[in-house]
Amino acid sequence: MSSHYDDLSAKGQSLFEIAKKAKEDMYGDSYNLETGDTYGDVDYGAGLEGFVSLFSDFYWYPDGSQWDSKIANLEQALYHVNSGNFDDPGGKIIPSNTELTELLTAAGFIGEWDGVAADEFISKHVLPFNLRMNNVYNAIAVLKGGYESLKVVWSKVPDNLEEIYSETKHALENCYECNADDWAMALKAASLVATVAVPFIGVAGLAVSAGATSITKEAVEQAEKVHGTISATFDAATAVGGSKLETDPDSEAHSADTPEEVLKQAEQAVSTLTGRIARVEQSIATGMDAALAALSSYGGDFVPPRPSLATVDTDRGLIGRPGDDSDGITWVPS
Amino acid sequence: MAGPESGYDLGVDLSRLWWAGKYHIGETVVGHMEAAANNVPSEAGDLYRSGGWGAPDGANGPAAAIESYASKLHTMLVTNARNFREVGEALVLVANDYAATDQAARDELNNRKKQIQQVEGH
Repeated sequence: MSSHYDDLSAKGQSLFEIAKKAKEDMYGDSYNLETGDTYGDVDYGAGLEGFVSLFSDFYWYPDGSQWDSKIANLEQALYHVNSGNFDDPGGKIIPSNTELTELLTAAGFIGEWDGVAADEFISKHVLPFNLRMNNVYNAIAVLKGGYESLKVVWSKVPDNLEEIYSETKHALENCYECNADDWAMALKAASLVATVAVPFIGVAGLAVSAGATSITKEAVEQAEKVHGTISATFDAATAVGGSKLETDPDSEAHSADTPEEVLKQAEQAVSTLTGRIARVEQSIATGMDAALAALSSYGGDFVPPRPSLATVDTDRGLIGRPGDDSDGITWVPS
Repeated sequence: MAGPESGYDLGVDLSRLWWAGKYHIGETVVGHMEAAANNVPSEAGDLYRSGGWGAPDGANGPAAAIESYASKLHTMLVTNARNFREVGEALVLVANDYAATDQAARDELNNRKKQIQQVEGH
């Protein structure tokens, strides 16, 4: 957040002075029919004070660049958990972290063992690994998408404010000579980016055949069923928050032929800008809330179970070993 | 699958288990999970703007919603790292524990540990 007070208050004061001059030019030589006084005897600024505080909602506001480092850090986080060739939902290619696949190497080592513990390890850690990492990846991407949305929106604010100022100034300098229909202020809103809402894949239903080191066709089919159920949670969020890069082509056309009308339209333009920013912010909050609910409700789809080694120290006969179908490590939810 | 036919064979099997637990999972996977957690910022950033407008929380916009999610995400990644670390430790423990049951297995495991440490560089 940084202060724009000096610049924007000066702009507001400038518009006020221009508006007074415009009013004087329009009415200075005419008489007030009610009082009989010339307008030269009155305060031309009366009713135009709103120009002074026109931009007060933006005296302090966030800088779009403040999220650059966070976005870069999250890009690194995406790399660390990218066990496949996942693209950034924002379109950027995130390189695969090939070291992560060492878990699969480990699984190959353990493939020599066919006890219950080994099968459980394969079932609960190896087979769901890529799917779980996919979910973790997307969970990080949601946050990154939120920051990118904020960056885009707030980066556009200076341009929008400058446009409102310059168009308002133009209108005030010309309203004496032009008719209402001759002037229109087009407020181009910032390109709006809704938060990225992405589906994640359920791993709870993954089936495993003993000793398998790759996902079976049945396991994939089962996972797809779970995927459909869980992704509905995100679909609901998508319906509320939007899921695409959205460019808002709408522009607000304003027209006015007196300084007072110019002020009214300028205030409306500022209000339109704050309303649109707030709309994007609401979509980000909605997306974050939905993603938070997903992480809370389906933790097992993101986090592997913990091993329980209670039996190791007390009864070696229960520990899985090559050729031994007994169980030595049990896996418990986080 | 048939079990190992000798203490030596068991030691070979156990060394693979130890390697997987200590390096492939214990260091590599855990290392990346921790790195990912460290790269998740906990602060939403300063979202304050004058005028008190914004959504859903007025002058601070969506800061609270973002921070709640970021916190949950960070915790999830830290938990991920912890669980994988424990998985690695479990495999190492099982390997060492088993080796203790057979002298030949223990000797071969210790021999291979040194070789693996050389391969891994530490």
